[in-house]
Amino acid sequence: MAEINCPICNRLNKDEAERCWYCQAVLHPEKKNADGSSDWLDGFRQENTETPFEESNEASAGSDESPEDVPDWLARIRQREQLEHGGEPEQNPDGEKDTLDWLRSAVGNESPTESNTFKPAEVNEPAPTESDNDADWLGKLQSWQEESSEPNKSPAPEHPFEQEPKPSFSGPSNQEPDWLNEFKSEAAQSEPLPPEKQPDDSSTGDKPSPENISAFEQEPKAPIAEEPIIEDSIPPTDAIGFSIPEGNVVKPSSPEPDWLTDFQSLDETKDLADQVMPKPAVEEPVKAPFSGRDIMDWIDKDRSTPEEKPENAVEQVEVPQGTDEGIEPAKLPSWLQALRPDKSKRGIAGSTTSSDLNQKSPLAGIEGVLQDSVIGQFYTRPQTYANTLKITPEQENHLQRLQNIAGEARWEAQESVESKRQSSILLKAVVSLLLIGVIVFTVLTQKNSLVEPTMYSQPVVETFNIISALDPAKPVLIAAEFDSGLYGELKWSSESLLQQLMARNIPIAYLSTTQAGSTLFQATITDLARKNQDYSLADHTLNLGYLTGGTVGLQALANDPRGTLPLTTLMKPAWTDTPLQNTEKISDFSAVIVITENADTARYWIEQVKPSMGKTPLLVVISAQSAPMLQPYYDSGQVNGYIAGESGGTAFEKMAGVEGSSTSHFSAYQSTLILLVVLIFVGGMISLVLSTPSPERSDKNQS
Amino acid sequence: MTLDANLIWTIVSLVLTLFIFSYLFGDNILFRIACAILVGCTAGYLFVLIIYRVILPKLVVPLIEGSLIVLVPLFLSGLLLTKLSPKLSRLGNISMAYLVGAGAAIAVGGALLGTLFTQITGAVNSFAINDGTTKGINGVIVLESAFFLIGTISTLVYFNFTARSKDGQPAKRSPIVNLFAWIGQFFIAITLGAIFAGVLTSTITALIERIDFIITTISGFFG
Repeated sequence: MAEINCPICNRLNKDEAERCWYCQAVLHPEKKNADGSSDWLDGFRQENTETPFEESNEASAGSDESPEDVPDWLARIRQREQLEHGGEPEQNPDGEKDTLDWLRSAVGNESPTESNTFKPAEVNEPAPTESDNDADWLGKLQSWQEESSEPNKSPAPEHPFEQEPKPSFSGPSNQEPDWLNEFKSEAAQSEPLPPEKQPDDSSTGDKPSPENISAFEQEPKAPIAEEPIIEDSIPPTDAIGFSIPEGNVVKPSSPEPDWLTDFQSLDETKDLADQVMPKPAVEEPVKAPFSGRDIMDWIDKDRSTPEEKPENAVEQVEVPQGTDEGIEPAKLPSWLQALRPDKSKRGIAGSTTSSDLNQKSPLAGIEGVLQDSVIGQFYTRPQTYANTLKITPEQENHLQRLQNIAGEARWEAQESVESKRQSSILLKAVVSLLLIGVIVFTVLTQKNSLVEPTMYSQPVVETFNIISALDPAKPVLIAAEFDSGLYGELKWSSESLLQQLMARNIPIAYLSTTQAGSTLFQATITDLARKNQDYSLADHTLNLGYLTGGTVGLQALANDPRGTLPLTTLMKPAWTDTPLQNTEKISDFSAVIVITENADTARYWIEQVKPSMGKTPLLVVISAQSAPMLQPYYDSGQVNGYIAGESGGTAFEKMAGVEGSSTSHFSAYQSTLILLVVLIFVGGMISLVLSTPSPERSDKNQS
Repeated sequence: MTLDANLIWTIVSLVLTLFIFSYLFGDNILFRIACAILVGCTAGYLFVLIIYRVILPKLVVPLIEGSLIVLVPLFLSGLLLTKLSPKLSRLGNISMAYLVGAGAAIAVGGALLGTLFTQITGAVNSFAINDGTTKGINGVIVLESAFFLIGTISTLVYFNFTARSKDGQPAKRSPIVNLFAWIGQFFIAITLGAIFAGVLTSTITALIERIDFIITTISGFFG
């Protein structure tokens, strides 16, 4: 059996199928276009047949259909003529599709409730459509009927719809079928024909009602003389619920157009609508058995009564409420019964959702893809899972093995960390003991330096020269900018310099921007004064104490020393009756000496104070770790000289000809440095060997 | 041996030094005791220092002497105390703005005038190949100046991480920039090595000083 792929979902379908089994997409669009019809009319026709009003027409509708090469309505007329003359009408296999597209648009513009719902009107109640607008054509129709009917025939009642319930059509009815009125009046004037049969007044479909005529209101008006336009303008009567009374059937006079001659063969006693547009059979064998259009049609019927309960809606669809209550509900085919959902489920799966999905979802335009019944089959309640994990004994064994492996790995990791920590402690202890042993040995033995420094650095030489050339009448300002951490280094580095100052009886005023600086320097200078009995601390030294503000304080000191530090640490005036009594500004000091272990502190003094010092030299005693950062300032001339670390202090002592702490500990210093160099080299080599992967180890890792 | 204050403080210094040395065997309570004492003494000393070196000489004494200008810093200091309250902390922004603004202005001005311009001038002056004392051009000074110039430029270029990116290609520095950056790595390495050596010598000196203190103290106890 040949199969074709759906152009939408690309699934296989039977070749003779019109729509895709899965997505309801049209499988042969070119074929449909060639037929000039669309199967959307299937549902429309079925809807109309299920309405109470159309059910009356359905009873009298024929099953004849016209061929495709002639207009639908004309073909049906001809078929009807042939049928009346004893000929067999030709069956149109595509009878359901012989409908115009404009009708779909006309119907589609209306809401399902408006277009498809026909409410039975109450008895003796005028039709809801405006009778005033229809009065003229009804008058014409009545006059035409009187002329065309024989005198012995009883005329049609003036208000036939008042005696029986009429379906109401809620659609707009502002326009009248003028073309039809003109056509009728013209035909009546030409040749009135006596009716062969009295019209059946009991049948609602025999008389045209305003409701029926109103179905034409949305169709475009077209001149009736042109056949192609008439083909497009005249809708099938069974589709729109139009019927012409039998008594108003006219016979055309000759000579007339061909298409008009067909009307001459109409039987006046029969329903004109049935003759012009015979209604096809309800159940067409050509219709696809599983057309999604059909499913959507009955869903739309269910939507037409949203206020009703789902159960009632189902009942209404199955047994439509119409004027003809004697009609029993049709027996649906088995395949359609199988497709229809259960009554109990229809209330859950509303058809509105399906319609909305088709209009708003990405599948918009593909009708019938998402259907309530189908969705209900695919989607169920989410499955709930238990909180407990059920594992098999085999899985439990695997889990136990994994736990053992992880435990061993953790134990090995802990053991590795512990061993590393112990080895690290051992290594630190060994190195420390080595350092301490070397230092203790050199200090206790008072060994001479391994290498005596013979070449002194230029900053130290400059410092020595400046200190040697200082004016003893002017005081020296010393900034003790150090903490207790590197106090020992700075004390040894500055010891010989301070001794040089004391030897020359130069007054010393000292301050600090750190909290403990001035106190530590006071302890240092006190110790040095014990060695130099000629130097009186009370007369030659002045503790200005703590200078607050950091860089701001330094800026203030450079601009106004007296205002910045008015009192000494003993809360006495610092600038009267002291070595500073002749000092007004910072440049009045003979020299400014900054003792610090921090290069930034030295930079602050250079940046803030040095510009205000004039020709006053700025000397720095700095830790060895900050000496590289101070070198550029020395090169630029902002620092006149500096002593860096133990080696600088030793050099200064050597130049001064004194043996201070730096010189006495220089041997320990050198020995320790040599030991450190050896340790660094050995440690680097060991680390290099251990970090280099051996071929065997790399092979193991690769394997 | 007489028991005087110096001896007591010497003993305290010895004990605390040994506590600090106990860190050699890892973090322990002795080390923590020494650290806690250091922090506590520093805070207490700072409080006393602020009272005696800041508040009394720069606020109380001028007020007693009749100087009303100190009321301005007193008012600003009071606004700073409002920082303790979340509701009134915005009042302290005035003092903070003054402090930050003044500090930044002084720091930036000092950095420009005291470091940046002077260092540029110093770099230019290093090319003064003829100082007038010698005849002709001093070759050593030329080489030294060129070395300094290359070191300075290459170090600065190394920290230049901007590059132009072409279409479809990752951003790359020009070959010249890469060459100077590669040279700058050596100068940076030498500088860091010199700093590390200075740190090492400083700590060695501090260790020697402390060990010498311990030896001297212990030898003083035992005559």
